[in-house]
This record gives sequence, C-alpha cells and structure tokens, in this order.
Amino acid sequence: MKKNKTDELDQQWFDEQIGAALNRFDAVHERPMPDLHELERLVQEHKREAKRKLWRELALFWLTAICVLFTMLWLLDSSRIGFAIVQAVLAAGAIGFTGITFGKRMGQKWKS
Amino acid sequence: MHDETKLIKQAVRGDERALSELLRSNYSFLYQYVLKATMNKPLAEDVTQETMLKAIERIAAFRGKAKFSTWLITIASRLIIDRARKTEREKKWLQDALRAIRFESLQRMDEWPEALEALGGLGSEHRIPVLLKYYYGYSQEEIADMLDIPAGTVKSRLHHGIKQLRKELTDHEEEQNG
Repeated sequence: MKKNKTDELDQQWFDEQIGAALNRFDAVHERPMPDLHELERLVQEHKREAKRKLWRELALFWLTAICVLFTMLWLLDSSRIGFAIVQAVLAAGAIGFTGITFGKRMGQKWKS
Repeated sequence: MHDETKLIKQAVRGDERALSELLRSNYSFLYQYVLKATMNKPLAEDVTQETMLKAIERIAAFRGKAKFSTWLITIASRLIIDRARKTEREKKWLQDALRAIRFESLQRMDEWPEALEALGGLGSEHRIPVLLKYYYGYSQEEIADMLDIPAGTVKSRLHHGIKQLRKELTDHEEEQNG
C-alpha cells in the first residue's frame, strides 16, 4: 500500500517536472518515416548477408569437427596413452573455461 | 493494432514487405527512445540502425507476447547498456555528445530545460529504467525482463535515478532563488 503511494507520488513528480520537457524533446527530434522500398532493400540485403554468414560459420564448424575427429582417430591408432592425455587435458580445459565464463557472468549479475 | 498483429504474423513467416512496414512505422518511435536513453545523436543513429538489423535477424524468433515496439526497445536498451560498458572510459566523448544535443535542441526548442540537463546527467543504467517506468509506463517486472536484470535491481536503480533527478532539480531551483 505504502509502496503504491510512493510509486504514485514519484510518477506524479516525474510527469510534472520532467514529462513535459521530454514531450517537447520528442517533438523536436521526430524523424520522418523512411522510404518503404529502401527499407525493403535493407531487409532483403541483410537477410541474404545473415544467411551467407550462417553457411560460412556452419562450413567452418564442420571443417573443424572433421579435422578434430581425424586427428583423434590418428592419435588413438598411433598412441593410446597420448590419446588419453589429450582427452584429459581437453576435459580439464573445457571445465576451466566453463567455470571462468560462468563465474564472470555471475559476477556481472551481482554487480548489477 | 489488428493490422500490426497481422503484419507481425506475416513478418515472422518471412514476409519482407510486412517486416519493412513494421520497421518503418516504428522507426521514429525507436529513434526518439534511443535518443532520450543515450542523449547522444551519433550513438542514437548507430544504435537505431543496429537495432533494426538485429530485428531483421531475429524476427523468426519473435513470439508476439509483447508489442513490436516493446521488442524493439528491449533490443535497443540492451545494445545501449553493452555500448555504455565498452565506452565507460570515453567520458569526454559522451560529454561532447551531450553538449551537441543540448545545442541542437536549444536551436529548435529555444531553451534547454533543466529537466533534460538532469536526465542527461544520469548514467544510462539509471536513465533507461527511469524512462521505461515513468515515461513509457512499463512495470518494474517488465523492465526487469527487458533489461535481463533482477526486479530488485530495477527497483534500486529507479529509486537512485529519481533521487538524483530530484536533487539536481532542487539544487538548480535553490541556485536560482538564492
């Protein structure tokens, strides 16, 4: 109840002291509507570009995956101990990376 | 409103003309919001453009739970906050931009109200929730969703933002009276 009252008072104060100035600011900075054809061109071009980027990234992903897979198969065939060491190092790296990324994100949330 | 719902459905299905029409009708609203949230004209133009590009990329994922304009200002707000984090060290540039928008508005409005000066003095992490709540009428929970921060954080930023604005305006009044 008290919270609602405070909210209402803050809203009233804002409308009186700032709202009118913001309305005028909006009015003088109003932009004309852009041309529909130009916007359509922008939408088409950007969709095309986004699709191209997606295919490029997908191709890169598959290429990397194939390289990793063949390297692992080669390593497994030539040295089982080497394969186990690489697996352990990669697992530790992945855990460390996830931990650092997650920790940073939590840190940002706490700060905000 | 009915038209917008129809356009949104078409745009989500991949209709480029429908998406263009939606972007066109919301362009000025989006630019005005971004300009108020940044108080920086070049940055506002840049963020508006980037928001539209992001909207083009993500339109297929738009579920229509909120209004299209709300979705656009959500994207824009997150972009502004990201940029503010990156340009934290470029305070001088931000001051110059505020001076430029003050000058331009002064030419068009014949005055630069103290209310806008006070709003320009807030950091974007406080200015954005204040604008969304008190100027655009969103609830604290909606703002929390839009900015992807806890509702408690929104509450404290609103409290701090309003307190700062009151202080600036009271100080100015006292300066004028005394």
